[in-house]
Amino acid sequence: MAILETHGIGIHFDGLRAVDNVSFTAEEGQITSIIGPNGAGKTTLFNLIAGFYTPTEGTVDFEGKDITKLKTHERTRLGLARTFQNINLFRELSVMDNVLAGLHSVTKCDPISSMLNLPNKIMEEKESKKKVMETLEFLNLSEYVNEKAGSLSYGLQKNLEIARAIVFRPKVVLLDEPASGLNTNDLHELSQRIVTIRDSGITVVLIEHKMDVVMSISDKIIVLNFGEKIADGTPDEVANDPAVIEAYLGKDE
Amino acid sequence: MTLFNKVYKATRIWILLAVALTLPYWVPNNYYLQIFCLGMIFAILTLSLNILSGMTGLFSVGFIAFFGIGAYTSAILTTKLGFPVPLAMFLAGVLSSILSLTLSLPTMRLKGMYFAVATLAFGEIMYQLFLNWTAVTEGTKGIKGIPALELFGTSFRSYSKFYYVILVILILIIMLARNLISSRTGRAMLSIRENDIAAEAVGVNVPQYKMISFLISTFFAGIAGALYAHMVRYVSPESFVNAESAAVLAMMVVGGIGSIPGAIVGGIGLTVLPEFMRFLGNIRMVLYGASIVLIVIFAPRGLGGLIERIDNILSGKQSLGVQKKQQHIEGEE
Ligand SMILES: Nc1ncnc2c1ncn2[C@@H]1O[C@H](COP(=O)(O)OP(=O)(O)OP(=O)(O)O)[C@@H](O)[C@H]1O
Ligand SMILES: [Mg+2]
Repeated sequence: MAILETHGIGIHFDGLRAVDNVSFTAEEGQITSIIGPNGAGKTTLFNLIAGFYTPTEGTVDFEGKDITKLKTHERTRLGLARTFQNINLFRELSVMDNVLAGLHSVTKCDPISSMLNLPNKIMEEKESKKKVMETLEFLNLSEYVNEKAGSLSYGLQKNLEIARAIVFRPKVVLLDEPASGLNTNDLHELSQRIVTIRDSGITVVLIEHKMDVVMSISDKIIVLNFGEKIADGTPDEVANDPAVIEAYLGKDE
Repeated sequence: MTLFNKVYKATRIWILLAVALTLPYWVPNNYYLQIFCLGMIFAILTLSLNILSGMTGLFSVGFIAFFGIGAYTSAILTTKLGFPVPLAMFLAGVLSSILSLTLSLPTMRLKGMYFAVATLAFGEIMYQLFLNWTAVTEGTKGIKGIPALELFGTSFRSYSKFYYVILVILILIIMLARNLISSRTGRAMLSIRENDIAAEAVGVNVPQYKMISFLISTFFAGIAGALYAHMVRYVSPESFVNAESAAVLAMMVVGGIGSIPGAIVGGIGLTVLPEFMRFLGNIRMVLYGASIVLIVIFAPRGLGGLIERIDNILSGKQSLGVQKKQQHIEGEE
């Protein structure tokens, strides 16, 4: 079943067609990867799906419902989470608080109970912290729980982004270049983790330049070039597609 | 951890409380006690501003307006409508909170400078209202004869008694603010201060939480204003000019933005300091300004940061000189 779909979605910035008439589907329980050269429009597509940009054309469907008009935080509440390519952490807050903040959409405690420390708050905080610790464990971040997010190394910050996005068990997570800045050892670990995330029931949409990661774990790949979708299919199909080979010609990787 | 560290950690809160409880007996005369009470009221106000600015990152430069709304509300309700003082004080907080909506709703999407200018304008409008709505506020004459608080048959007319009322409310608000910081609501506010894009991404309704931050912080500011009205028992517009907003901002910055102990020390310190320097004559305002500048230069995280550092050293969490990670609520680098 398609859990996330775009229909002819597009946006232009002062004449630049950053994303142009792109239709794609992400099947529930799969890893769908989006690849393409720098500036192809991959991050912009994420921003359209997550509601940071309003499309100039087309629609986004989530679980069969049109969500194009919903605000970002409303989409998150439906179970659509994301990470950022250019890292957007709460830098001055601890790792614990960063991931706790990730639980905002599934927790309920109101301002009054928050301030009065009513039993419902204490219960919720306790459960939340437990969930956070499990997620941190999964991403090997447990030992940094009290560190400030901004003081972590680049690679750890990338992991923290993932922790914050998946802690509330979203239905779909959009990962924007989680492998950038990682060394070869960590790449393997990351691939494993993404597969584990998928196997735990979270649908993954992945933007990634590291081809070994993409080719080894993707169920389906979508290729963008100059804002347009030029191919989609299984890793094998895409790797042998003449249009894709041409788009990547002269490029490393 | 040494024995000293342990003893310190176990007793610090009690020592602090003992000092706070016995303070009226130490202070040499009633005049200084009055100044100290005023300082504590400003500590509450600084703490309120910290919820808006320190936690949520919204810099208000017209914050004294809410203090004024609280003071006038309680003054009017008690002198003209015969409300009991405790109820009037509570309603002062409520009205201050409600009026904050007239500022927060239209400025929801404003950022940085634009937001600051809007708050400045709001402060000026409120001042003009206090000044010119003479039928209700008595204009420049001000409202006289505001009753002192009476509870359980005791009058809190004297400073040495009213001091305890302020102390209790200060401690209550400290506790509420602390609880807030480690809660879903508080984290939503902190996340807006840190990165509003990421806040949206984790599902925070940013405009809504900015509004909540306003409601909470102005409620406390209104209570502080009411405390002021029933302590001084006279209000006039001159107490709520925009320059006073700058003074509260200075208290917050000197204390350390986002730090609770900082707000207390900043509020009390910057109220008491100019009074203690009175014997210096006119030069005191220069020295007052200079001490603010010195604190900001030598303690970039304010007095609050300094206090936390000393506290960490005394309780053995940090050795002298070595900056370890602190369990610190915020503060910018
Ligand atoms: N807010 C914006 N305003 C103007 N132009 C934009 C904006 N966002 C993206 N663009 C442009 O849209 C194009 C696509 O950018 P995008 O970031 O989506 O590429 P990308 O595929 O993610 O590239 P990379 O692999 O380098 O991350 C680029 O030319 C970029 O400059
Ligand atoms: Mg990108």
